[in-house]
Amino acid sequence: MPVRIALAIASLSLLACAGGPDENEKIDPDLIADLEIGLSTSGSEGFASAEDGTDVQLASGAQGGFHVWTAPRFRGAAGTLYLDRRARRVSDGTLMLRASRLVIDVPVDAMGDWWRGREAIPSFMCPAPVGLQAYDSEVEFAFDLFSEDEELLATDSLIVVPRCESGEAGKFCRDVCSG
Amino acid sequence: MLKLPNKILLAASLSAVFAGGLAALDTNEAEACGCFVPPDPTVPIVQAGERILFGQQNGIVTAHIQVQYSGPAEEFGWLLPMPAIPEMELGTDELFAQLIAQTQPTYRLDREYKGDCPFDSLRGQGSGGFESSPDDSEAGEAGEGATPLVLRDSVGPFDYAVLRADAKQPMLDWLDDNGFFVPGGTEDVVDAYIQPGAYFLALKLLKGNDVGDLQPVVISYQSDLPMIPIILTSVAADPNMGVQVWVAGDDRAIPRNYHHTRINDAAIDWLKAGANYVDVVTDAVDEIEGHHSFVTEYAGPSNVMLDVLDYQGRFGSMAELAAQTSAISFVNYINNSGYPLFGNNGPNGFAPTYASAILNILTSHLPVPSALLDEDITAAEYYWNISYYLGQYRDENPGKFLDLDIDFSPTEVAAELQERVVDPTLAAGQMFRDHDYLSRLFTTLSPNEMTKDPVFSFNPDLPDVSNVHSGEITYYCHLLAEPTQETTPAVLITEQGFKLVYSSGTGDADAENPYASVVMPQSHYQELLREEGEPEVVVDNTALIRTALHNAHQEDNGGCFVGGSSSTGLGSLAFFGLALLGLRRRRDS
Repeated sequence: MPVRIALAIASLSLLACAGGPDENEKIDPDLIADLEIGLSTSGSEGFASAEDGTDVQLASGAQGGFHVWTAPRFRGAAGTLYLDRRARRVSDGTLMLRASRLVIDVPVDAMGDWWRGREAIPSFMCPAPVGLQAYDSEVEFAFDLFSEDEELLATDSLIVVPRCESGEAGKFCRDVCSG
Repeated sequence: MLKLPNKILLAASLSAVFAGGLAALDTNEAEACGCFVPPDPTVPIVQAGERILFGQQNGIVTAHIQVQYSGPAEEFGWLLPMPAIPEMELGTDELFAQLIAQTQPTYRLDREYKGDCPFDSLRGQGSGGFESSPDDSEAGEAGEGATPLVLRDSVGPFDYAVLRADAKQPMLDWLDDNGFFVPGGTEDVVDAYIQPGAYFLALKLLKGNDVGDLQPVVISYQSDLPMIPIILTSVAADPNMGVQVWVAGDDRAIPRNYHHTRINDAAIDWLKAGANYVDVVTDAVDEIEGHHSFVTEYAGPSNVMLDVLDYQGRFGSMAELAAQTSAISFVNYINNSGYPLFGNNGPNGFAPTYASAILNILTSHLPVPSALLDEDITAAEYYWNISYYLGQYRDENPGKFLDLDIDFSPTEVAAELQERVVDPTLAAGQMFRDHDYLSRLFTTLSPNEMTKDPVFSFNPDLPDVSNVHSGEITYYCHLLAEPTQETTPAVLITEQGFKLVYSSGTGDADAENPYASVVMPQSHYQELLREEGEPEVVVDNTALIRTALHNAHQEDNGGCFVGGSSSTGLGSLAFFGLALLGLRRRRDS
């Protein structure tokens, strides 16, 4: 494992690295491909599988927002693919994020083994929608992978609990993410 | 060559890329530095408003930003916090002029006449009506010790640099050493944006350029959602500064962290085609706590902008243009190839206008003779009629052409036009081919209200919003022996179904809007728009508005309200009795 990846994953101290699905196990037999949402850190190539309920620290962006860094990986599909991302508050199903569709060029290598892009993807959480607190409560990320023909190829979801830093350091986060 | 005067110009601050203001920690006291940095903190500057078009596609936000500033040209500076190294290109003012024209809210009246109304222009031809528009003329407007410099380049009139923002002092030192003005107080604000992986984009004018050379910039950067760094502009802002945003995407755009307001259209001065619209919006959004709310002015297909900027054949061929070796043929090629715009904005009603970038290029290379300028012949008039001025007029007035300079390089001028006019205009037009949907949102904010940077997202479940609003006014001419439009009792039903009664007539063109004095909410609905589903109505002012109007009408029955002239009691009473019978309530829309 390259050192930088190891460091990146090690830095995800709050993540429960429970390991992904078995390398050969099909996640959803009804779908063509596999998709797994992992967690990562800003701009890194790290990938860490995570269990539902994992705490994840909201990461500040350069423009003052706060994000959850996700790292989806794919298997069993290649070519030009579309990735749709949603995030909902678990308690009432309220949509917290409808991210713009990403177009991903996946190499043929991904047909036989897990593949992921070079960098993690920041999923925008804050500023939170008016009246919706984006931290200290469960948020479910749902990713869908589509072919160019809009065929659903794979899907996955992950429930995390976004956290602001504690104490004074997290005051801005709590302000911006309080809705 | 003509040397543009080094004039003092208005400056304003606008930033396209949100820098998440840690400065907003204490939002009520935020005195953030404008990202457009004034040369001298003691010099008052004016921010006329912000106009931005966002496009969102594949995780990339593209922002077209109209720069509206004043201040000494040589000290122009602009500082933008960025989430990543941005791509920067030139934009075009024409984009905003056309966006305004195509999506401008308009208030028009359908007119109905009861009885024999001599002022009915279609009398004898059935029911008539006309449309009016509030302002058609607007269609025409690193670590320590290492250099923080990531890249430095120029585009059009701008000299720009991208700097790493992971350490404050090296960045500020670099700006100072390289002539990018940084006013006092910036240090405190910049702290909020100093972090690993962050950048600042710094702009200034290249030497030889004037503030008149400013033109929009286009910045692309990776982000899920577009934001406006309004906190950063608070220092340079006017009270109730307009913030005009267009968002091109797949669906209708919503203000994610701001409220949404639907204005009370009974507060609109329908008789003057909505001339008080901005005031109504300002008051309506101020009814929200924190004054953080947007009005959607248009939401619908982006094809209202299709072929507007980039219609087939526009700009002709650069090779053909470069082959025009005489001043007359060169300028006439421009005139005949879609460079100038046409509108009813000239002294004689119809005149071409040239974007400032075009005029700046032409006046630099083919300057207008000074004697003609002294005669108040404008540059636009000169270039549009260049065959005349360099032909017959010159023959008749050779003394006025002593400083004529028509020695130019067609290739060089054509290249400048390509860079500063053609490419930006075509790229802007492409935005409306890449995105199917266009939303236009507006609010006004005073500096002390600029405490939260608005973020925009999308909701595919929301309906379209038309920018064209219609009311219906009925004149009751049979109530008067000699009816005139000014004195005839009339009833206006607004688009939202509110009834406005003009028992003494609508008055003449100078009459004040009688409903301006009615105390009522200026917002009809205050809402939350989510990223899916219908609007969540927070406040519904329908009942309050109706009560306020009812009370006003009751007062009018006493003979002291409504109309361009003072009311006449008995006439009013009789009119009310008749008018109310004939009224129908229109469904709120």
